[in-house]
Amino acid sequence: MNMRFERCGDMGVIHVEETRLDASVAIEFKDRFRDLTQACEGDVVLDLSAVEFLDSSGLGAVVAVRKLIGTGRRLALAGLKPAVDKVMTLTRMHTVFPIYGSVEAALAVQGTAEG
Amino acid sequence: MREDLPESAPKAGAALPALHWRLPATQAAVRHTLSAQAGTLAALLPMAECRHEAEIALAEALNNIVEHAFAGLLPGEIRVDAVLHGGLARFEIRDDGRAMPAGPLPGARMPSLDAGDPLDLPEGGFGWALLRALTRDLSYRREGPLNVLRFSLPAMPAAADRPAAKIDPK
Repeated sequence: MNMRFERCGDMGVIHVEETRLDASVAIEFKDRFRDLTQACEGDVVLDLSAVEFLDSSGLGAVVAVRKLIGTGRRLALAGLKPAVDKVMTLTRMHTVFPIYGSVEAALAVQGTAEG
Repeated sequence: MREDLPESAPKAGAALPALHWRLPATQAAVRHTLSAQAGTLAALLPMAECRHEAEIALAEALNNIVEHAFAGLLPGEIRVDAVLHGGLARFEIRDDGRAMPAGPLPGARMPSLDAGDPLDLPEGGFGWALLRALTRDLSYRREGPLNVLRFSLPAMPAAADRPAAKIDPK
């Protein structure tokens, strides 16, 4: 599970460098996310622009990491490919997570919004 | 009386796109098959939106089989067969795991996201609901030692002004 953390001001970006977020990598995804965001206290942007495919297990893992960072911080999703966007839409997760076309867009909006 | 030919009736000598997958019932094999067999799925469903929907539906169906039909058992075999007929890709998935419990198919409702607190969001229960939302004619039968799951997916994207597929209570 290749994931990379990037600090951007008060926020953190988690770049998921895998093409499939599914049942076989869901647990590792959660563990890596927890490790990478430990040192970061602000909002987090999850960069999914490399992820071609996400199933309900991957979705559950994204919800789980949303819970990991707690209610005082937000988790935004960025760069959703069509199949990933379809899952978010069908499950109505697009009403729960702020979703942006790119990490840059997410940082621009989330970085200026009141915490 | 002549029967109407399906829209995808082939010309003489042309092969209908079809799909025949055989895989062991493990998470790794499901992941590998969906990735390695992307080309055969694309041959069946060349329209990207339809292909994405098929891949999601197949992932949910196959993961359910691995997690439930073979829980605590040595992995058996899963067979996925599909043909195009009448503008639909008709899938049949067979496995030799344990039978589903009796009763209606799960997933009658997408899990609710009305929790005020993000800490109360559901992490599971989406799989069957996704499968129901994406497919038509979803059915399960036990045939001897085999589970048989069937469903259809459109080979053409839905019209932009058509409402999203409703989940029929089953």
